[in-house]
Amino acid sequence: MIEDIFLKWCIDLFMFFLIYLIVTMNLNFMYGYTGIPHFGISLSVAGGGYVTGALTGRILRWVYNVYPELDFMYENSKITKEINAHLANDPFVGIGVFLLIIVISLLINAGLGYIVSRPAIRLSGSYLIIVLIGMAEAMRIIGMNYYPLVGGTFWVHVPDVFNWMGDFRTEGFLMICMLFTLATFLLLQAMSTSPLGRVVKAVRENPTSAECVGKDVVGIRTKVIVLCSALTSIAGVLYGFYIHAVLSTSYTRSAWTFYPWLMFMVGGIGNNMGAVLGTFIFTTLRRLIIFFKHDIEIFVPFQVQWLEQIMTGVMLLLIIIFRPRGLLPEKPTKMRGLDYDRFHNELEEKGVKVPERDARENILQRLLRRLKV
Amino acid sequence: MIPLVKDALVYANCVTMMSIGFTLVYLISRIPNFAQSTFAVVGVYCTFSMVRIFEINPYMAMPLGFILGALLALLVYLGIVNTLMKYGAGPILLTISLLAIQQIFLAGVNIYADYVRNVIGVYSRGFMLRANDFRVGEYPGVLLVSSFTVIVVIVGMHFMLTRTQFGIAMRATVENAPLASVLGINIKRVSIISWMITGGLAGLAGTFLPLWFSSGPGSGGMLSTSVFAASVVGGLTNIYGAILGGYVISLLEVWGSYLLMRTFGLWIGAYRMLIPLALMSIILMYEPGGIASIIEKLRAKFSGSKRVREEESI
Repeated sequence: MIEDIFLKWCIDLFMFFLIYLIVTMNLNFMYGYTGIPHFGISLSVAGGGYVTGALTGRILRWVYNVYPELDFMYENSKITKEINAHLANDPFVGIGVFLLIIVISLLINAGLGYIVSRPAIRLSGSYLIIVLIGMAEAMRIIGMNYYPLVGGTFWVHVPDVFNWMGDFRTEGFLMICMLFTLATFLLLQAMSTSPLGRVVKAVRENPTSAECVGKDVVGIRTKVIVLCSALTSIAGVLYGFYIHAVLSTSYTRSAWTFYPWLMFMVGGIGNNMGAVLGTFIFTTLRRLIIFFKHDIEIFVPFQVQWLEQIMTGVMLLLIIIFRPRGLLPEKPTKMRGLDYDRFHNELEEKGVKVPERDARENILQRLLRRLKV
Repeated sequence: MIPLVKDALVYANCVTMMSIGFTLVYLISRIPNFAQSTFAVVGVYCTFSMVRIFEINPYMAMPLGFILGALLALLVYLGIVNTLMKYGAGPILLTISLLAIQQIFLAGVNIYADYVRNVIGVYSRGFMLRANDFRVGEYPGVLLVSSFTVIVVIVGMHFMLTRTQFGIAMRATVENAPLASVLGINIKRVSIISWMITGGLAGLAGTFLPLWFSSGPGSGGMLSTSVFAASVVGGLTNIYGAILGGYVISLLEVWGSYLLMRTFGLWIGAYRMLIPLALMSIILMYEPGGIASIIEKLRAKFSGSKRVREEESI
């Protein structure tokens, strides 16, 4: 019994870890590598969720011709139940629709990313932040008020496209999520160690000088926002399929903007391993709080949720004050085929002063270095 | 007076008071103060407590809201912003920390609301206190008091910025902080007072909200988009721009949504928040300097002088 609950908790934790990891890594690529302070990342997650909620059920209803006379939103439970019965022995349609939704979500969110970045991408810092926060809020308002999209402040069921897996369903979906997260990780890692990674770092460090050597700063920023918005929306899609529903009220600023920011600030800005570490620490903490919520609730005359928000806020402030670069600070990107020690020595012989590497290592870094990560 | 004008004016007064503060902090510290909307929520709950718990005149909340907002802003400035600036944090880190502070304060207000409901037994979310307001003829008290307050604030700001030594010190700090400190201006004191004014004005604006609109812990979020838009449209570089931007944005928001509702039906009213956002986007795309720079350009054009104020680097 206890083992069973623990196993379920572990799977749930791992699911959330994977979903949040996609958001965090993309955010890290946008802010950590390119220097775009994207405070409206919940917009892309919500975008993915809305695509899932609005289209999955409708496409499948059209495929199976389930109750064509009923209103999709009002009779949602009935229609979804019927669709799920069809899906239980139809793996090809299930997988096909899942992939189709991912592709549609990528396309739509790339477009959304382009639109929201337009007003302020030329301007720096504060203006961009204000606009992006406003846009994310607008997305939420639209989802909450436009009933045919995802059912307004109610929710819309998402048909279980992996219903054919039977008892193996939870583990199977976990593996699919793992594949997507791994693909995102590898893509972003490859991008950050490629010439593109060095260009975006140049854009982050000094846009003016990047422009002087012929790099199109605005173009690069736009491309990064578009790409990362599209990739982030995968998290929204997976989240929708995981909880079998899309709830417009769940895409709040604190859940999908503030927490991912907190995660990669904890882990380390400008490196993907930091994003992984931060996301792991933080999702574990949050799942633990949620698990023990009812035990705490007896002792206080208010909802534990607020306590959690205060705790996470204070945690972020402490991290910013005491470890502004996170647990795993950024290291210079290594180019393959370059002997760094020789490079270092040659530069010193020529009399060029090479800045010392950060000599202090914390325990975790040492551990990771030993493990050759 | 038709109800729409009352609606628009009360809203515009609140937004303007907050956008003055937002711009002031942006000028002094160069960061958008996202925690500001929470100071307004504190003001909202001051009025709520006065009416529902202590059962006295709602306007007794005005000084309390001002003082609480100012003290919270002082706490934020000394505890977080100043500390982080000492460690050399950039504007982005400061912005994130302000978001964290916003979350902490909002959670605090929510705890208060829960506590009031569970322990004292008073319903504490989504309340409207119009019935507790006084009336002069057909004018509701909150309209008169808030308009009067805004006029006092604007005149006071103008007087302070142009006539007093402190205002001159403030303007010098805005223009060039290091140079100002060389001339013996205490920048820290200027910053502290600006932050306190900001917090106080937001708290004050918050005390008026529940007397006309349905309010709760979410009221700050409702206002914040309009406040950002007002400040950006005003130019973010000019207090007078913020005043103008506040009135332009909120009047357009209220009347625009009314016109749209009459044309397309009531459902469009829910998307009212998109109006300031759209206006802000348009302004940023075509004239990032906002109203302030438009007026400056027009003045240069008509007076025939070649001198155009140098573009603020944004």
